[in-house]
Amino acid sequence: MIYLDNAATSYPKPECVTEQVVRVITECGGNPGRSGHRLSLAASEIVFRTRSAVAKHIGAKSEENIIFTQNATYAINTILRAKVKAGSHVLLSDMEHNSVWRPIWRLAQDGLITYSLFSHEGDIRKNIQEKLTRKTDILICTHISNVNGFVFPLEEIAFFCRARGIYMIVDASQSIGHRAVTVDKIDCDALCAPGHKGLYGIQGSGFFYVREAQGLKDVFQGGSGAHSLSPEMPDYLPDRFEAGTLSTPAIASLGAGIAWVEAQGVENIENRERSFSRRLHEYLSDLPNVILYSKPESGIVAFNIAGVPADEVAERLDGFGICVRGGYHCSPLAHRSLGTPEGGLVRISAGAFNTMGEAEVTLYRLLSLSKEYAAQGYKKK
Amino acid sequence: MLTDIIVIGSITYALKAKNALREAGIRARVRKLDGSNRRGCSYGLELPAGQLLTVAAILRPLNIGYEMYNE
Repeated sequence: MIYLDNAATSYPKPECVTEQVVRVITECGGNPGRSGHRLSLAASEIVFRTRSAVAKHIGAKSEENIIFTQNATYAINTILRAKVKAGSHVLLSDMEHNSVWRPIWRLAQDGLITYSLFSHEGDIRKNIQEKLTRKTDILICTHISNVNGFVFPLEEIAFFCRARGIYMIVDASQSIGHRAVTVDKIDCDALCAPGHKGLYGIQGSGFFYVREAQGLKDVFQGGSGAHSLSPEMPDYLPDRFEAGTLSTPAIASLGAGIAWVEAQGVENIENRERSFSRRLHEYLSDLPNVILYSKPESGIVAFNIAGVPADEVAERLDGFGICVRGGYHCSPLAHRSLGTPEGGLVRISAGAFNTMGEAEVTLYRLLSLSKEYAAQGYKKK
Repeated sequence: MLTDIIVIGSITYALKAKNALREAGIRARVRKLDGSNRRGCSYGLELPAGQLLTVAAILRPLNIGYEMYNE
């Protein structure tokens, strides 16, 4: 089996991640930050150590600026709802995932905010400038598109936002662990990420970073383990945003995943994934009935075989033991931008475990599919 | 052994303080403190007696606020 759906979730997980999850469940099973007994304190230590590891990994100034969530979607929803105010105008790129678009759409439907999309093509600063209104106070942008791997110039966008007092939120779902992601370098106000993709934690792990707590209201309310006599959530980080019991096993897996990624070297992982992607791009661009929608900027390869539904190609590849994802990838905005709103496309997404040998096997299977469909008369219009 | 106890509040700050003190050679123990103060449950640190001035100098730059705890 060749797993090439790492943009959805990474697989396999490193052995140290599995071992850590089992260890934490069996040995540190208390509720972190709630009780004073050894099992609760042991769980608290695990959570704190992971918080430190995340902070260090993304260059955050302190552990408390990291807030754990169950995935990037919850992180994005939380920071958006914490920051928006009545009358806010939010800018988002035309390549955003539904994890960004849907919460913004809902807030707009409820009459709280307005929003505009800016194009990822051409001069992005100019595109943003054209969509600015006097009420624009938040911009949210993915780092790397989950559909075609397009890389946004975040530092340039952040510079633009900083100069205009716009709060900038980054969705690092497809970049974290795949390349260096440093919040100080980007100079963003908030960054959201899953733990189960490029950082090799298990599903149920995610987090967001915020530069400061000021101006952010709590979104979920509940037990936080401290200052419990007050009806209000604590006003300090991370407690303001961490209502209810945290998932210690998921958080522990994230800590182990980060340690593994750092031992491999993020740059080495990036180079490996890009080599994989480059090889596929070189080959697929020569096939007459293959349409490419990506460039070898990341580990993502986006394509269609002319006239063939993306899900059919994905299913055929699954028949060969190759796991890829066809369809819309929860990103209708991106498909509209790329001109693939009907049927979507096929996405191959490499991870740290993929080898060049697997790239060759994949290419061999794609070549045979391409020939088979060409023989049936499927061709580019 | 005589000890002093400081109330910090959140477990995150208590653990952060414990680590900072450990780096400075001061062994501290995280404790869940009873909810008899006005704010409810809190975490704090049990420290070796006589170290409070040093502890203050270490925790202040980290913006870790605390108050003394009376058992």
